Formats: sequence, C-alpha cells, structure tokens
Amino acid sequence: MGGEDLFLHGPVLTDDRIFILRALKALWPRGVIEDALSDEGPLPLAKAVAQAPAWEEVLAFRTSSAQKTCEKFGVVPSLGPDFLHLLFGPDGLTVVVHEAVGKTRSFVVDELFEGLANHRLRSNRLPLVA
Amino acid sequence: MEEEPVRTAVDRKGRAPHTPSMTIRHFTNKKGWKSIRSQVDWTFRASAPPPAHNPFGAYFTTLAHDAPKLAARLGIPKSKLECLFEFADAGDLEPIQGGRGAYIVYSRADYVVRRDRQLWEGETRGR
Repeated sequence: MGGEDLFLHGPVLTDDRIFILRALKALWPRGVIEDALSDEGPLPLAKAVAQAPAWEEVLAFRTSSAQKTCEKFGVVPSLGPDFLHLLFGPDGLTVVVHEAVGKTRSFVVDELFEGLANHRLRSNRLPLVA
Repeated sequence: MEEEPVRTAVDRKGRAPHTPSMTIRHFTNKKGWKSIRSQVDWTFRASAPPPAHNPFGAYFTTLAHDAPKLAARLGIPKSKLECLFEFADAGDLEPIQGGRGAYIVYSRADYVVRRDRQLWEGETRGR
C-alpha cells in the first residue's frame, strides 16, 4: 500500500472539519475534494467549506486535473504533492501523505496538525497530540 | 437466532475493525502475480516502497476489488490492481496506525500463506 499515515489523536468535531477544509482551501485555492466511500464526483473546496460535508473519508486534490489523473491512473508518483487522503475517525484524524519531503507534507505536519491543536486549545478543548 | 454479520458491505466500506474471520487480499501487477503464484505456498515480500511510506512490511487489505475509489484509498496506481490474491485471515496481521487500519493490515516480515488458506488468485477483472 502507498503513502504514510500521519495521525492526530482526538475526535474530529464539525468545527474541526471546517478548520481543516479552510486550511486545505488556503493551500489549494483551486482544489477539489470527494467522498472516498461513494462513487460521487468531486466538489470544489470553495463550496465544501460552506457545506462541510460529513464524509468519513475524503480525497483532496490540488486541482481538478489532479483528481482526473487519480481517477484514471490511481495514485501515480507524480500525484504525490497534489493529493491527500483524510480519514475522520472517532479517535482522531488520519492524513495519508504521498511525499517524503515537500510543501504538502509540511502543510500537514506544521500547519494542519499544529493549527488544529491550537484551534482546539482556543475552543477550550484539551490538546490531544500524537 | 443470532444475526448473520453483513461482511461484504462492511468489507467494501472498510469501516469495521479487522477481524480474524475476514478475507484478506493482496493486489499486485501481472509480474508480481506470476512470481507469487509460481510457488505452492504464496510468499508476500516485505518492502518499503518510496517515497513516503509506513513501516517496512508486506501489506494487505480487507477491501474487495469493487470497493469505491480503491486505488486512491490504498494509495497505489491502478496498474497495481491488475491481479489479486485472496486468502483466509489467520489473525496474525497488524492493522496500520490510524483510520486506514480498519482495512489495511501488514506483516513486519515476509508473509507466507500455505495452500489450505488460499481462496482465490487471478486477474482482478475475472473476479
């Protein structure tokens, strides 16, 4: 199986989802996401931020072109920086990254996980770190 | 009367915890398939594919070949879904860390499946 599974403990609440989607949109302004557990097509991140769909598994892409590449060829090496797989579980958030170093990986570790921990602190929720 | 668990639906969505009664699957390309099926006992080699990867090991899934967006969820190219091995779980595989542990399991070393546990192998399109 491909990718590395990065995990942040703590249940993912609705406001966490919105925080995550906003952070993704800031990283990938033309990005799209889709429900990994259905055959439905992609949703632009701009719309997703407003809708905050309650999907359990989300596939996120930098552009719709990257999404089409994945749909046609699966997770090929060139897709690494342009793709994230997020799983919202009762125990925590999993983000699967497909690059060993780079901007997308740094975003997950330094901005998403760190930002989410701070967001939880600001919401008076206990910091839960891996 | 005890209710029969709905295994197919659970497997396909992959949201149920991995249990010893499940069918375990290994997807590979044609070259890998030919190599593994050439032996009476199937041996799945442990590896650590680049660039980003989980711990060194031989990886498997409980997801069926027709699960939605399978390649994306497993993080592999579609060419690696070409062929499939299915075998009965012996309860000795570990779930990976995080949410994908519900449907991805691994062995830290090469993993051998003896004939009595082998269920099916072949080109995935024939499944």
